Amino acid sequence: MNKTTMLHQSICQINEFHGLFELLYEYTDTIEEAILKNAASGEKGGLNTSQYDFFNGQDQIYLDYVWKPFAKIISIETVTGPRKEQIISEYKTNLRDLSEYAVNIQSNSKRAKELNLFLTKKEFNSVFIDKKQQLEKIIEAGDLLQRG
Amino acid sequence: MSECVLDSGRFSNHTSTKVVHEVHKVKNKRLKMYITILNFINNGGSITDTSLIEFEIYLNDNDLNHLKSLYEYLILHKDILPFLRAYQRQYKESVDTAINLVLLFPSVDKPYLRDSISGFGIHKEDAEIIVDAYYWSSGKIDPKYITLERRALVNNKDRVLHILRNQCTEFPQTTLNLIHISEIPD
Repeated sequence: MNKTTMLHQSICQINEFHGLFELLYEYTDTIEEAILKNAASGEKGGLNTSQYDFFNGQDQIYLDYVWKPFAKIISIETVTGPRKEQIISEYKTNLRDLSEYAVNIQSNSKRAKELNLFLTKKEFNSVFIDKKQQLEKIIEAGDLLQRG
Repeated sequence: MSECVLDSGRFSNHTSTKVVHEVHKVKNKRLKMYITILNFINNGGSITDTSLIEFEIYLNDNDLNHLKSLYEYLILHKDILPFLRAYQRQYKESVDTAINLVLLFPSVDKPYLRDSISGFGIHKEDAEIIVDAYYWSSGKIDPKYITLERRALVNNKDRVLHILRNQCTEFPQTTLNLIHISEIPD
């Protein structure tokens, strides 16, 4: 199965992570799109320097703004030792306001778009040419779900 | 079609703040589609009473059957999910791009005019936007209100314009025309 789908499914199944799904989703959306774009335009010579730097910087961005809030929740749930109470209260306070993470993840998405790491409509259509019919079924259901 | 209109450079494109607000509302609802479907798949595709409350929807038996068969289908075709995500990204991008191509006119608050023209298939929400368009059209050369709603418009065009011209006395009558998107001149 697709790795992003697997990640989303696993995170969704853990109640403690519910509040963080939006952050993760925005981040994986950016990366997934950038990778699709690179694959779609690969034969024309690959990445330019700024695009290359963007991909190269992702481990740090992932660590600082995506993994960190998840790690804090894990710590809250599993921490032991003399500083236990202090760590729990410190991390809970930190997680009450997710805006620092959100702002940085959003600017990462914006950066990807500025670097043209986003499929054009034409590229999108050719990458997913076989999915059109399946899509129609889902759109129908989506409109149904959102009605009212 | 709408893309051609916005991109053509042949017109100056305007809309009212109310329209943009509505578009964003619909957009944000639709962008919940992926997470909705993901949650359903995680629940094993069963549609429970709790999930119905969660998504604030009313479903009759027909809707439920349709949804059930769809989710049964999706559980077997999880490979559709990466495509659904990519589709949502394209959708969001194209809505945001379109909004950036139009100039904004602040919506007016004229409940009396709105209620005078609504009815006969024109909803209050649509009526408010036509009133916005009439205020915007003041002083404009050849102003056109373009809509996708053929039925309501064709049946009501003369009545609506007559009411607006006669009841709106804050500025001289305008030459606003209401046209279906397919009637845009070449």
